Amino acid sequence: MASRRSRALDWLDERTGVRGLVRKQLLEYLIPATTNRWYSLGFVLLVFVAIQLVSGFLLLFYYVPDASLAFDSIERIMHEIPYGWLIRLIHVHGANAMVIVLLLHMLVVVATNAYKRPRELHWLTGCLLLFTTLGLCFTGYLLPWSQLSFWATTVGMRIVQSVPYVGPTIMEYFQGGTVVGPTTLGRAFAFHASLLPLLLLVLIAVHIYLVRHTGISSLPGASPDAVARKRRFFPGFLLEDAAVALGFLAAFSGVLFFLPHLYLPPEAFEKADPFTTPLHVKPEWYFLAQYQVLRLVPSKTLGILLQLVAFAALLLLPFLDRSECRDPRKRPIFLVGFVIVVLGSVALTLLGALA
Amino acid sequence: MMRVRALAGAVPALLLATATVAEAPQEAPNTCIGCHVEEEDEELSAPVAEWRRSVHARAEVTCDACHGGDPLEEDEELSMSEDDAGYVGAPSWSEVPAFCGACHEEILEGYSESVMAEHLEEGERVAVCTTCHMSEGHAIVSQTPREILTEERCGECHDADRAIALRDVLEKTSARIATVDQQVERVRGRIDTGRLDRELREIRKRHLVIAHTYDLDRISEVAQVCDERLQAVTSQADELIQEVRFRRNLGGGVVAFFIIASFGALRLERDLRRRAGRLALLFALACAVAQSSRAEAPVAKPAAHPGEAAASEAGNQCVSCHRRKETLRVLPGWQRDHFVLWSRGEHGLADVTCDACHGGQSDAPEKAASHAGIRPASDPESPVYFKNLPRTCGSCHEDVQKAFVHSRHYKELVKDRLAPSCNTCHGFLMEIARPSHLLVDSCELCHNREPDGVKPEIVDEARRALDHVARARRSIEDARHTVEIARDLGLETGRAAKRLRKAEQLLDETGARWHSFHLGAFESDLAEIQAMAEQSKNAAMDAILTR
Repeated sequence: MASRRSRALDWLDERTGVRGLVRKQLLEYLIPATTNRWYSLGFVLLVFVAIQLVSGFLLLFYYVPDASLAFDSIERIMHEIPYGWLIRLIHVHGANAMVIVLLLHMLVVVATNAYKRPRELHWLTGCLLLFTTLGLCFTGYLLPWSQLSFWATTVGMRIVQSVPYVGPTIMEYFQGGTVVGPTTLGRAFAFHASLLPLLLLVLIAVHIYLVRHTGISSLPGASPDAVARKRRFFPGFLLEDAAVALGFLAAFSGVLFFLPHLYLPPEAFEKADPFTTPLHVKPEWYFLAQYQVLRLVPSKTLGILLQLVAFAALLLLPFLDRSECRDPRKRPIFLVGFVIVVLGSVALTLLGALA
Repeated sequence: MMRVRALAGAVPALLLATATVAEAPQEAPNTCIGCHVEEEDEELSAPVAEWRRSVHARAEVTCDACHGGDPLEEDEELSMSEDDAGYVGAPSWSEVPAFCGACHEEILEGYSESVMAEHLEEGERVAVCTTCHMSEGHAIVSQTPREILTEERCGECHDADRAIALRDVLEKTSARIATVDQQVERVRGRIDTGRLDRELREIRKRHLVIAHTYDLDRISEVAQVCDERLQAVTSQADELIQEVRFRRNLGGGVVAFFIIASFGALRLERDLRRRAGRLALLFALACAVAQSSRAEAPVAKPAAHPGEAAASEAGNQCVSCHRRKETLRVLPGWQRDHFVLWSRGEHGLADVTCDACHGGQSDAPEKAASHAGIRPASDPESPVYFKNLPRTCGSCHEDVQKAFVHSRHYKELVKDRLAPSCNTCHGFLMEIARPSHLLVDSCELCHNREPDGVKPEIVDEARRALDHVARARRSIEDARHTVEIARDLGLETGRAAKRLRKAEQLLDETGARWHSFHLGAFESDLAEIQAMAEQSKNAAMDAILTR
């Protein structure tokens, strides 16, 4: 039996070099000994991406991207298809979990100054991954064609429209007209189910390649001895990654089964009606900070420009922060700035939610 | 540190401030309310206070929705201008149904079918919306039929019995709707109740519309239909309650599974680390060696071995404790195997005990004291960590270490790369002298023809060199045998014996020199040894033949 398996492996190896690949990329892969569980967030993110891809694929079996049928198809998935409710809730909660983990991952990277030379491109691809994920969330939000999705998209498109020069064109192109309608649903579906997932996978591949190329960064402030020490990725750290991912999955399942409507207010169960505006229309929680900025700044154009500047600063962070020092404890100005930005974002999100 | 503390203090303060600002009651700027609330004339200011208690205030339906006017215009005249702001003021009695019906369209539909509407059209002052719903002015609140259809109110125009009959039918349906709604409420937010909510809304609407026709027969008929539909909603709500229970149980199981699996993965990781990186090293460094070790490792409790017994008698606590049945029973399988392999191996025979390599206090009787300072083999600080093995083994095998540090293998090892260490060829416990074919298997771990293999020809060179060792050993054996024969014959063997001793000595040294892995130089040494052995043999043979 063993020899048969060995022969099969030989056959495969001759054609693919799989043995060498596994040995080099897995068995002989060394990471800094200072790597701790905060570094597992990237792996957790991969797990959630996989969950989203699988659940999204399953939803495609029954979802109909047509304005007159979309809501009914969602209702069918939720009520008639065996365990359809589970697949849909996994997809809904998985999207939010992806954003949470992605933001946490980025916070850890900023806190440990891991975006600095030679990892500038990691940061850039990471930011692009964030934007793609938010794009996936935004386009996916409209697909159920509920009151919530319809009006939240309408609000979102009005924000897009306020972008100077290109805003109206982008809005019209995405909406397929001057208002959100059936054409918008078709376009949102096209982006959500084909282009954006493909882009996400490509960016993930590039990101992982870059991480393998330059290696994982060590903890700032570690002694040269500690930095020089290595540990194996397989199986030790992979098991730690798995443990953290399983912990996240436990929390995820807790929300999924015990707070299933955390992200689904009653408007999410009403069919979209362009003639009935819900009392309070708000975007999803991850857009609330931006939404609140627009509410607070008197001019909408100024608000949009402020946000564009903030996005550009985020994207170009490694090129703006040229300091060689990576230890935030030795960089009080950076630390204060970091805390202010994080607290400011939390405060704006809370204000947006409670306003 | 002070800065960090100050920041830590600022976090909850900022969040609290945010929440406070957000939670502060906010009323949109509205000039109708702003002016009327300050009016001294109670007739003009009271409606504001009443409105604030009403369902309209909760739904943010402000004065202008009914009375017209511009609530954003600060100028009093302009805000109440009929032309510019569309101010309509208070409606006349006959205009009230159309006024309210602008929003409550279906109710107006029902009312329009009533006898009241007919009389109103004829100019009679019959009951309109305000008669029943504005008994407390603008404080329009949700009321039950019993609260609205009172004998006093209806009795002014109608027979009280008819009003009571109407009220009873409506009250019964209202109560039933409320009961079913409460039942649905039990699962609202935990499962999608959209369909039931829509059905309930439909039933409630139909009930309200028909109630405003004041036609007892039609109301009774619709009440029956509503009752049947409510029955269906009830049974669906029961199903949803069951479904929620099932989902919670399923969720509990799934959450528990993930928590257990998470801790299991951590436990496995710790266990692997404790196993001295056995698996990790196994994969990368010593597959062949491990296979052979497993084949030879007995699983039963080992019998006392000479080395083990000697060490135990010498008061070595590692050996005396690890050979105990009680200890063997609780130790993980791999530790038991390690002990057995040691006791049967070269080190066991030579009475080189655990502490020689692992550290610890072999004379301390307590477990904690005897294990002090011992680190798992996966710990880079451990003396048995694979990169540290040359130094650890070299503390006894100095000559081997001296040669090994000149090797390419050692240079790769100190560069923090994966490279063979002592255990790659000699096994984890250096327990057995390996036959040459197994040693060559070890070479093939890196020197192979795989895409990333290096110098595959080395394997053949190594095999040739090891064969040469065997040939040199055979030559020495032959020479020794011939010299012994000559000696037995009483012949002079001084020169031959001297050559033989030199060859033997060189062979012993070559064993250590092999570890520099300079195969060319090694082969030259062997050729020299073989030549010496040949010379020794020839000298002895010459003496025998010339006897």
